[in-house]
Amino acid sequence: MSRAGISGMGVVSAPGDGVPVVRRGLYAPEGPVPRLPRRFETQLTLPVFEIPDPPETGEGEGLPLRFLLHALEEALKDAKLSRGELRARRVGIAVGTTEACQLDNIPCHARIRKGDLSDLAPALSYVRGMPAEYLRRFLGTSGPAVTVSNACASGADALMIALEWLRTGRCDLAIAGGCDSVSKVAFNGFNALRVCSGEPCRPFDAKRSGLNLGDAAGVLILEAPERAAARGVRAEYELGGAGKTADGFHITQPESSGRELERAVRLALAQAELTAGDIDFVNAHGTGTPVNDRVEGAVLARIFGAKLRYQSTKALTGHTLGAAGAIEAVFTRIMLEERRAAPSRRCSVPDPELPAFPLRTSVPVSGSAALSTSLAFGGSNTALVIRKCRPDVPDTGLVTPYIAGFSLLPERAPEREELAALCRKYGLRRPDRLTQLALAAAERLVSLPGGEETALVTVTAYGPASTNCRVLDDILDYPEEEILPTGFSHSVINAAASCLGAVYGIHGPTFALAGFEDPFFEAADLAGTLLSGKVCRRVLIVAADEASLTSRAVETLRCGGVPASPEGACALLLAADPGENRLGTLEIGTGTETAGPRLLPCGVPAPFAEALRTAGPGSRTVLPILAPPVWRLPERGKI
Amino acid sequence: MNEDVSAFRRELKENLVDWLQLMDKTADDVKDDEPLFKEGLGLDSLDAVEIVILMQRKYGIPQSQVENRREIFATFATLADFIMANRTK
Repeated sequence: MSRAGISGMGVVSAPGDGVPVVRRGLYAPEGPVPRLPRRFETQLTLPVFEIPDPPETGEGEGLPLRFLLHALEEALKDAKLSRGELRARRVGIAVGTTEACQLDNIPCHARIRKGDLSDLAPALSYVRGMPAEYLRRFLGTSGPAVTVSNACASGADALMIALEWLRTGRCDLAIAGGCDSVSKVAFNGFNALRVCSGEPCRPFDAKRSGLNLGDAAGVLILEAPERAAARGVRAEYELGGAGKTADGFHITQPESSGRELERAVRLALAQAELTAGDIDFVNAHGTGTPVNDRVEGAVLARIFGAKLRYQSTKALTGHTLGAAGAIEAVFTRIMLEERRAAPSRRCSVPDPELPAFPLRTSVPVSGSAALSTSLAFGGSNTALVIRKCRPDVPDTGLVTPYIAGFSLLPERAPEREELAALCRKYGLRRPDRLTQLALAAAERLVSLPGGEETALVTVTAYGPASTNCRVLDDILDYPEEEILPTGFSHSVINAAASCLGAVYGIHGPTFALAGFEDPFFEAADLAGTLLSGKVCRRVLIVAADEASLTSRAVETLRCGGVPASPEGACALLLAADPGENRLGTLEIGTGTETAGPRLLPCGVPAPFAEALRTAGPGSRTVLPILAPPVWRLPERGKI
Repeated sequence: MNEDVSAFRRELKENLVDWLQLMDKTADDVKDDEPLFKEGLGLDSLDAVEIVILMQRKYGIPQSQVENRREIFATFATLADFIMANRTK
């Protein structure tokens, strides 16, 4: 039951609302044109692909979540799945996003920094609105729920996680997707990075001058084709393979040789049991920035040679960040079904430095298999292969991981001297506070093997919130042209993961997870899945949260179950190989909900950390699930 | 070097370490005649954007006055001299 057949899809983005509209939009002669933002005020003349607001959902859900719910409804209908059927299945939910996992409400931040906590409704929507946790509550499912925030690869990463759940038998149905909206913060931040174009973007064109941001959400339902067939749904295509690697090079720039991107593509092909010659076309990341398109074009030409056919669909959608990988997977399947690869819009004069030019007209293809690539801040590369379904094979089954190391950062660490020493040791430049905590925890592990066989999963509730507060302060206090770029690039949830990857030379899959329920448990569960699927041989999990203006305000909404510390970090190294066993085995305690107490906002049960202090190679430690937090606005008059 | 120049250079070195959060460096590590980028202080293209913005914020030098003038950023000394000569606050 382990093939990830695509039994349902939903999408909303600039070329249209719903798969049937997008299907026409991919080939229509006139594509959508980006316009100046309408949802927020700006002096910058940078066009974006905004789409109409989805229906209100009643509890103040943010825009990305509302887009996601809209796409989800279509996907579930397409897959003929009822709530009742979902509750009877082992459902995993993985969602990629950037915007939905940070409190980017500027008026709310302006009130919080003045000490006015009288209106925290946006904060309540934020903590309740982590997309995967939200969907699990909304649908009433009980399997894993992972919100992954790996910048621009998030949507593709969610799909890879879903694929691994199915391959290993961890789940028998997965809901995977991505969502994001054009926010003032991302808009000002990408402008500060000097990567936005003042014109409609033209990926791979000689005159390309940057990206346009865009709204979107996409959802795919993945399950064994015969399970779908039992409901009368034909899953002709499967997510056949995924490859994910880390450059371990720079926080925003891709490594110039594209070595790790190439490896990601080759891993995806191998998992899909295909060779480069079997791929009809590549739906490239193609953002329209000079550097991305140059590196990506060179790598694709190297892998696919003269047979390379590729396009970017971002001239139709804009760069939809956390949604991009998911909607592009939807587009890729549509193009396979149509037996026709769509053109790369607005590439009128291809960059002469590209070894091969993108498609400028649509071309017929066999419809057997295609590749979609996503590249993110911090050198995170994800490649997905969508192919005609193969016959089923047995699940890999789940293995019990060995604990190769555990460390809990002492209170107040790292002190200034330790931090300076770490920066000198690794030649680090301005690590944000969350990265400092994560690094100090990882550094306390006895051994830390990097390389291609090591995966990294970072976990946080609030993310680099103090850095994000500085970005919001910049927006409130300075003209838009004076917003600092590194504040933004260090405020993304995966900044710590990028830094740890570079420091320890970790080139395996890297996922940055965010959540408020129990993302630490989700990370350990995911690590177990990755080890079971032999995607890697060991997984470094680093959980960290930092105290900030945001967390202090939001924590006033928590009812009971207060974390032991607002700030801290721990590192857990899990391995598949008994030779790396130091602290015994980890039992991932599905179905063992406990009231806590939790050490950090992102989880880590105190008894679990305590048990590991005295654990040895013969120990067996259970990681229980923490009860989800309850959040409430204070009653009026009691503020 | 007169005292004004030397005092300003000192101040700017401390500011650079602070602004760019050069956590493994102190003002003493910033040498007058060393290149700011790559093999010198090791700054990158985003640091350049950051310095340009901070020149506007702190010293009132419009970004347009600095754009595409790489020579200003050759070494710490060229940057310091340019700011001293053009600051409006």
